[in-house]
Amino acid sequence: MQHRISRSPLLPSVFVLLAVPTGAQAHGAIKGLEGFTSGLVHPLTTPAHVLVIVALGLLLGQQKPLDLKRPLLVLMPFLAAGLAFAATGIIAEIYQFLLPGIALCVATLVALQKTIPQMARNALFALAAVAIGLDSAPEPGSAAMIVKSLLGTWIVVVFLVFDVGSYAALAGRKEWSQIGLRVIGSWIVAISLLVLAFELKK
Amino acid sequence: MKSESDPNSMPARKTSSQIRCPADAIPLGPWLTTVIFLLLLPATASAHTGTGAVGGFLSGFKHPVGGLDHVVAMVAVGLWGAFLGGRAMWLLPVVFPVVMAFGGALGVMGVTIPYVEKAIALSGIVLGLMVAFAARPNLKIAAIIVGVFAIFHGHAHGTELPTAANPMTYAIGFVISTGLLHLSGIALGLLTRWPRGKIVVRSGGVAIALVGFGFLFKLL
Repeated sequence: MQHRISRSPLLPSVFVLLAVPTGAQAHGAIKGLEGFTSGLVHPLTTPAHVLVIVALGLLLGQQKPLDLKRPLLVLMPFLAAGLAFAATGIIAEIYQFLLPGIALCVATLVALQKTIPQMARNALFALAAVAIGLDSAPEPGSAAMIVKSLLGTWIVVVFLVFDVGSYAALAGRKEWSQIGLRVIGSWIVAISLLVLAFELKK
Repeated sequence: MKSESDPNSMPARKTSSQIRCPADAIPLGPWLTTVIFLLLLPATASAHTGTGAVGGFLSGFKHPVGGLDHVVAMVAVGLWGAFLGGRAMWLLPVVFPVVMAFGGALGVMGVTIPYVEKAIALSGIVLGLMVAFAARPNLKIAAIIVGVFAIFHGHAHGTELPTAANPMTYAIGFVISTGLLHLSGIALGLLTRWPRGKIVVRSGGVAIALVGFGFLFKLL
């Protein structure tokens, strides 16, 4: 009796060839993006921004009593101001220690699970928002494109901080997940410390 | 019809699709073609793998798992934490990456620390024995022991950093990899909930200590 598969000898080859991965093309998808989408993706593709956003969100969710509204009301105008200033092109590059330094401070508070006074929290959010805004200078283009790009960045940063904060608040209801948040905080502290060392070495 | 008993007859050559096989056997013909196809595929060139954001992440992620002496110590931290139970289970893995990053920062900036390799081997011995003997010291003492060794581990990684790597993604990969090693140690350590599991975990401690001895006396 002949095996059924032997009737089409090329079939396994076709399946295997389909499974062979193609080469990855770094930034291939981002190169074509412009305007709103480009701004939307920018904070997600900048690791320093991701660290600060996650740390801010975790800090927001850890605070007791939970208050998501006020820090976000501080974040939104300061982020808009930072982005608007970045669009003028006066500051081409921000101080290299700023974002890792902010991530280190915020994540240390998360790792220690410290509730800080509202004033200090608002100041931290304002500083972080301005720093992210200044570091998000849009690509040169028409005024409409630039505005759309800045709007995309503004929306995604506010949304992510609020989102991470909400989930952190939900997770904080159980003891083991509170510890999980602290572990993530300690990882961000470790990453920021190493990055600061790299920058110092430069 | 060809007779098998005829010694003068030439055996007919069969094509791959004609190869007969038993019903339960996989025919070789199609698979042979597949293998030949795969052999003809060009390999992707991987020059400068440590560069760029993705390269930096992969380089950092692979670094902590690249040395057995490092791996056993990371797992031992998780095992010991699980053995100590309660807050210690999570405190040690919180302390270790932070202090290790501090040691790494010293290494990156070129600050020399003596006897790094010996201290790393010693960390395997001490942490392994702590697990093997199910030692339960005060939480602060446990954190100090883990923290001191973490500086040496971090320093070794910091000095071996590839210069071409993207610093941010390298650090992210490095810390996540270390954290995952701790988590795997904790997961294994959770076996201590069962009596036989305790024996397994303590035996793991003995094995870790032996690896430490092997590195200290350059047997490994």
